[in-house]
Amino acid sequence: MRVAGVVVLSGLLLPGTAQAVDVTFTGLVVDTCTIALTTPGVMLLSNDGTILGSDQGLGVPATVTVVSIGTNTISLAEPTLLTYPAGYTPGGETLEIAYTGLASHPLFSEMGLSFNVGLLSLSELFVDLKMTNPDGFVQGAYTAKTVLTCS
Amino acid sequence: MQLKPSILAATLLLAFAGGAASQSLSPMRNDGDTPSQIKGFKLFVGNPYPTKMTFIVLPMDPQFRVPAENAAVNFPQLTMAPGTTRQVIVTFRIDPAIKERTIGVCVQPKTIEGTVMPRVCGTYTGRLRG
Amino acid sequence: MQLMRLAPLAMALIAAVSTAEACTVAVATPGILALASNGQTLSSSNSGGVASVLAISDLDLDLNGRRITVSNLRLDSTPAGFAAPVTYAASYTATWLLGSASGSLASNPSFNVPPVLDLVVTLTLHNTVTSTTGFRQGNYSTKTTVTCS
Repeated sequence: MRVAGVVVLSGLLLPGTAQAVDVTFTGLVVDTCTIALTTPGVMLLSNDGTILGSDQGLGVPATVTVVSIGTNTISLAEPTLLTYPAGYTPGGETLEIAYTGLASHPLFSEMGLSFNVGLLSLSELFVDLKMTNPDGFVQGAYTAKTVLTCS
Repeated sequence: MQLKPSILAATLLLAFAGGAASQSLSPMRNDGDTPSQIKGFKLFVGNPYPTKMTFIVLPMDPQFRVPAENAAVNFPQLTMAPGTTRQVIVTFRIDPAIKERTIGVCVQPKTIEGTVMPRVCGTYTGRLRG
Repeated sequence: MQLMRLAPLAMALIAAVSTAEACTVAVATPGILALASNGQTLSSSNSGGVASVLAISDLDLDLNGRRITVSNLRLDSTPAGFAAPVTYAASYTATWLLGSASGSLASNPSFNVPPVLDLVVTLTLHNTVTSTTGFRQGNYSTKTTVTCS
């Protein structure tokens, strides 16, 4: 393939001279936030039956992976109880969250929490959620959630 | 057969926007003018999970608490293969008396197990030109 | 063999022309870098990236063939404030009539092509920049030098 074009006055080039040409690649990186829940949290009951939490016994904290470009805010909303078994009367429980990993707030909080992130390559956040009810929990399945927003 | 004189190829600088590969929502912020009362933005929604996922894309208020009125997304529900990205367009109406409006757009999985519901929300501002 | 027959002819022609050529490098496909999902590499081999395809022609005819070298991969433009330490990697595959070569910046960054008249070498080049602390938002471009000697 011959490219006909402008003849550059480059002078006399002797055979054997090296010619160097630069090849350019371009890319645009835009501000973004990527969140993936890699491990759903699992809550287990404490020995005395008054705490249902991911920090109890063999419970598992939720793992969220975060990639952030630009300045973003990660906020965890107040946790709420979504479903509970028949026979359980809601109202007496306290829900709390805590997190460690790319940011740390190991003290449980009933209120929502938030923190800023800047440029962050793939990092993990571990979120614990627990419910406490001094009257205990009846047998059955419970789901509680906190909404984690990156904005 | 002819030998053409030496031609030094010029460095070609080409600018392309690289698509954001499987990043939840991109860009996170944008603003722009519109000559009419409707402003639209193009957004990229990605699936960073290793499995097929269904996401819902919701226009919300700028604090991401309540759904936004007079705002719509052309694909409010997206089912995507792992690592893929889709383009969505969000449009919203601007009150001519106020001339500017900011909305939020949140992307979250339609259903997900566990104690955390992850969502990514962007903030977009439209202005009435003139 | 065909090559031997052509060579004396080519040499005679070179002698008749006072300006010698080295090679012409034309970009067939521009290279595009894309960010990996973990935010740590900007590369044409990531999803959304595109390798640069070059057509190298007008190679000088020399009995020893021509050597094409890929070198000096560097970040050419970055957004303001980006200063992370980065590492570079590049890989290529080259094909021409009845021949091919491949290699990377780290090992085997150059290859030889035979002295065949009107030879066109297609070089597919990948660029990768790695930053463990990530890439801030903005435009990036890399440059790689392709040398014919």
